[in-house]
Order: sequence, then C-alpha cells, then structure tokens
Amino acid sequence: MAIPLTPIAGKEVKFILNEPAKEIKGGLERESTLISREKYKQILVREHLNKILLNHCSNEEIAKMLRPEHEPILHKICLESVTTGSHPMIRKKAILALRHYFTKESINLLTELAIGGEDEYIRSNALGSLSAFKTAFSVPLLIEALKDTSDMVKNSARVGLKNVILDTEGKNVLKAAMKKTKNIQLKKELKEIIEGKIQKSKKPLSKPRHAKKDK
Amino acid sequence: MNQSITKVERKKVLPVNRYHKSDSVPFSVFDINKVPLKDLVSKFKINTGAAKAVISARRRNKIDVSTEILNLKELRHRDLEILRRCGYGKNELKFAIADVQPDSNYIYSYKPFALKISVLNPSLRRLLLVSAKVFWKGKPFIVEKEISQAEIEQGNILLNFNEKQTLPPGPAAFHVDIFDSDGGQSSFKVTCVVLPSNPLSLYLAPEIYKVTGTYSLRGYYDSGTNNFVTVVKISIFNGNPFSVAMSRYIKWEYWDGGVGGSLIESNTHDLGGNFTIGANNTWSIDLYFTSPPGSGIYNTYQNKEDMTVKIEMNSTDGTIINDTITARVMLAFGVDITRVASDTFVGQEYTDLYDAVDVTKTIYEARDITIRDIGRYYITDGDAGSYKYINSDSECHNLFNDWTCYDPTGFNIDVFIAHDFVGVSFDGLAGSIPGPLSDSGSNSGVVADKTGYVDGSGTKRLSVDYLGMLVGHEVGHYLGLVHISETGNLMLASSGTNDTNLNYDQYRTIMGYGRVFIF
Repeated sequence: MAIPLTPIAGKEVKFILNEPAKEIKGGLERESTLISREKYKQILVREHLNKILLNHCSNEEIAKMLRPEHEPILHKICLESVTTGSHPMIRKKAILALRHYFTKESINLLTELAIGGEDEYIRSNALGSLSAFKTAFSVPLLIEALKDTSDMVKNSARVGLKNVILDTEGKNVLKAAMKKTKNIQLKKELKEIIEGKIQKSKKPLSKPRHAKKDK
Repeated sequence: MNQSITKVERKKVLPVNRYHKSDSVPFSVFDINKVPLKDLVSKFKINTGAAKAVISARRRNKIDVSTEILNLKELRHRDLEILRRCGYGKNELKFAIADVQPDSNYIYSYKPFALKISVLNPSLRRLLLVSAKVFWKGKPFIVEKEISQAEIEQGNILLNFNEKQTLPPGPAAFHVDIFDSDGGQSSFKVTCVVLPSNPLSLYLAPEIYKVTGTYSLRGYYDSGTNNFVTVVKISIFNGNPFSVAMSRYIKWEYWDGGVGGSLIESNTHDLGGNFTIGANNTWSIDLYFTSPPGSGIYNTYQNKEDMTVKIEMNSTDGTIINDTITARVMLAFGVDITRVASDTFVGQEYTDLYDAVDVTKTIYEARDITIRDIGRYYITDGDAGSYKYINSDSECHNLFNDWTCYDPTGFNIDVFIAHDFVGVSFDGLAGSIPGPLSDSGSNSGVVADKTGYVDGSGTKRLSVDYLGMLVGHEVGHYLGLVHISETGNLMLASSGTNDTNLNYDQYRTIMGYGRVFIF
C-alpha cells in the first residue's frame, strides 16, 4: 500500500540538519585577504549601489535610497554590456533608476540607450524611464520606437506614450505627429493611444482559468 | 535485506576548469579599432558591407566609443547590436574580464595556486582592485589585491592563493570582480575542479547540487510504483599526469548509525566493463537505487531515519577510493511553474527556466527541504493578455486570481514566470506571507520576472542563478518567511545570486506551513 502524503504543520518531526561531516584539512574556514575600501570610495559606492538595485521593492522605495552621487555610477552600470559580465538585472534596474534623475546627462544617456541599446530589454527599459519624466520631449522617440522590430520595445513605447499624454503639451505633440504621418498603421495606432484604447488590465475573473500543461 | 536495484546514467562531464553549466562564457569581445575585417565577418557574423564601413570609418578616425557607429548608415539593426555588445572603442568607459583560468593549468588540493585573469581594456582604464569570492565545501572566503600599472598594460592579472587559502579536492567556484577608479565593474564566474594531490579521489553529491555547502541524498518516494528512489552522483577526480584504469565494480553500502553501525543493505554494481579516466581529468555518473517495499532502505526511509551511504571503487592497480554521504527523506513542497505568455519563452530560455528551478531546488535541499513535484504549465500569449507585461503589484494579484494550474494533490504552489516586469523596480511578488493553502483567490501564488537578457553571442537567455534565487525568495515568502538582514540569506530584501542560505529558524517556520508535507 502506498504511503500517503502527510502535511507536516503541527506535527513534531525530529530532523538533525546536515552539518559538515567530513574532515577537511585546515577546517571549514579559510583566511580572507581583504583590501580596505578606505581609499577606494567609488568601489564602496558601487558595491552599495549594487545592493540598492537588487532590492525587491517599489520604485518609490528605491528612490528614497538613491543619492545624487549615485548618478555617475548609475551611468556606468547602464553602459556595462553583457560582455563585461554585468548582472542583467542590475543593469535593467540601473536604467529604471535613472527616471529619478531629471538631468541632461541622464536624459541623454537614456535617449542613447533607447535608440541604440544592444537588445530589446535595454531599449524598452530606457523608453520606460524616459517616458516616466512625463514630458513632451520624448514623444518623437517613443513614436519611432513603435516601429521597432521587438514587441517588447513597441509595448514600452505604447505605455510610454500613454504616460506622456497625461501632460497637455505631450498630447498636443502626439496629435501633431498623428496628423503629420502618412503611415496609415501608425496614424491608427497613435489615434488609439490618444483615445485611451490601448490594452488595459481585464476585470478579475470570478473563477480562475486553468493554465495548460506542457506535453 | 538486499532488494534495492541499481542502474546507472552516464553524464556529460564538463571540462575540469569550466565545470559548471552556469559558468561565465568567455565571450569574444574585440577592440573596434584593431579587429580584422575577416573576424568581423566570419567570427562575429557582421554583414560584409557593414564590416567594411566600420574599417573605413576607423581609418578616417579612431573610433572612440562603440556608440559612434550608430551614425554609419551601412549598419543594419542586427549589426549594430553585435558591435555595441562586443565592440570596445578607444575611449570606451567599459572594460571586460575576458577569461579566468588557473595559472598553471590545474588547481591541486592543499597546494597554493593562482588565477590568471585576462582583461580587455583598450582605453587602459585605471583598474584598481580585483576581488574573488570562493565557494567551496567550507565557508565562502574572499581574496583581493590591488592591480598594478604593469598588469593593466599587459591585460593579465595574477591573483595568488596562499598556504592558508588552499582547497580540498572537489569543485570550487570563483566569482571574480574587477573595479575601476570610476565605479565601473566587470564580473566573471568560473568553477574548477580542485584535483586531488593524493592523486585519485572519489566524491559523492546529490544529483543536482551547488558547489558550496553540505548535502544529503534525497529519498524520493514514487507513488506510482510505491518505491523509494535515491540518486547519487559519483565523481572521480584524477590528479595524476597520466590516465588511470578503473575497475568496473561499484561497491555500495547503506548504514544506520554511520559506517560501522548496522548495515542496512549492500551490494556491488557492475558497470559492464573497466574504464579509463584521463590525466588531470574527471569521470562522473548518476547511480539510481530503486528500493521496493520490504527492502531495508525502504523501511528506513519510511521510519524517517537517516542513513549513511558509502561508495567504494578501485583502480585496476588496487588503489581504493571511497566517500560517504547522508541519505534521508526530506520535508517537501511542490510547485507548478507556469510560463506566462509562453510564446515568448524561446529556445534556450525554456532550458534556462528549468535549470533555474533546479537552482531553487538545491537552495532548499541544502536545508533538507525538497521540491518534490515540479509541474510544467503555460499560458499562451493570446490568453495572457496584459499579464504578459507586469506593471503593478495589483496586476500580480489579478494574475493569481485569474489563473491557476490543475493540481490534484493540492500541495503545489502556483509559480508564475512573467515575460517582463515593465517600469517597476520589484522583480517578484508573493501573494501574501504566508500564502493561502488553496489555489484560489488573489493571493494564491508567486510571480517572478523571467530575468531575460541577450548574451554575448546574441542568444536570448534567462539569468539562471538569479532567477533560481528569485523564485526561491518569493516561494520563501509564500512558505511564511519574512525579510531578514542576515548576510548571505535568501530572504534578504536585496538578495542576490549568492544569497541562498536558509537558517534553522527559517527551516522551523517552513515546517509549520500547511503545504509542506512528508511521506
């Protein structure tokens, strides 16, 4: 007869956790050789910033942890391509963090990444941060990104334009672009964005649907 | 009672100095001002016309930074992507660790060694510090040194490990970081087998395992056959500068109360023929034990008692090598992994996803909790709708409300892997702490960003180690764990790839959760 599964909550089960049993010459600890960060402040800031960016918390909470002196190092992180061995999520979050720095340098860098970022993740996140400034200057860039080959980039551009038209000037710039373009598909898409017809979250279902099982 | 049956599965053995599949790949990066035309075309797959345009541009003026090439009309989007990813200009702010390898080809146990770190740094940026964190059987430690001007100019850095930093035989992972004077950083990870100086040794581990920590084998109960299955990975490391011929027989023993206590079962497995292990090389197999009702192993697992497994082999010249490891049933929970917008998980990403789930499993198994059942589900692009791109926490809760998996046991936790988290800085979320015991309602599940990126060769990948940690972190919340500030702990608010420890209090908390079970 098969053994039934038993939930363990509330039961007393005695387990001895595995502790290192094997004899290792010199024991289980080795001496570290560390270099003081005292004269390397930039490294200290970088290490601290890596931790901030890895935080699993909201944009607002991240914003509270960021300081003006972080901005140049954030720029460095944003430019560290995957071939430098950079952590893809730290780079992504560094690009997102630049939305909290409304400076010429950050706007220029985000623009550069939005146009020439080496993959769709970089371009779409750069567009997201640019549009978070909610100003009209990013409208031409966002419209251009609607033509990107990547669905992810196009989605960021759509969401970004939706953000930007919350600003009256942004809406006017978008309307002007819509009138000017001869591309029928683009005209239609811009019209939908202006009219707020882009895909929204659906109303929650009363009964969950079942995901399909992999074959 | 000797009733357990054994079978062997042979594993592809990775190179001694690139021993883990998640090791960094030494991508080909190039100096835009020096790379020959033929390399651009044949090695980096740049369109010939575009490659010629790059050569011509650099003849006019040295290319300062890779962004300059944005102005070259001849370049297609794809070419631009490659050049920006792999090309380094004269005044490029970035630098890269091109490779890390042992300086004298191999690392031998209990002997000082050095790592040779090759760096691509065309603008001769002022590199300040190299730091290597070492993961091995014991507690991780760090070796750092300041980088000299000569090393910057040569592009090679030597990092020495002294008498007090030697390692025992077995795998060791080195996570190497180099920092420059402006806060720039380049990272590289490599796993090397520390070869035995003695010079032949046998090493036991679970089927999947991390390099660091201590482990048990897991007695897996197969309800379909009513058998317990145990899998042990047997590796032999040959530190000899010549091949060693090994006998075909594997002697195995299961002991109660440690070796020399009372013998539960023992036997010999015949591999069917002698075999040879190359000089400075490794050999590895997975040995499966199937234990039916009535067998000693089955009964001991059923009584939830620990066993010590001893494996012994010998070379044909009579050298005997052996190792022991604990085997036990573990506390368990299950997960149903659902790819949200499944069409977007292409090629390698699918493999990476389940490699990441293996990482999650090893994190929990290092604390004697296993993920017993891993369901594989998907929601198509069309069905996923707006859940393809998560952009708020309320959207996560709506996802938990709207979707679940068919789970007959009722024990599995819904784990959704979303295509991308857009515009939000969090990258995962658990419905609540702890999560509900059912699969319905807006808190019933966890969701994680798939952590996608494009690697140096242009292949779409997931960050396997990070995603494995992230899923483990969010599932940890679901099992009742809150954030803590213990160094290296999985539940740090800012847990990274190397933060994978769970402490005893957390183990006790998980034990109290209603979806954690035992046989």
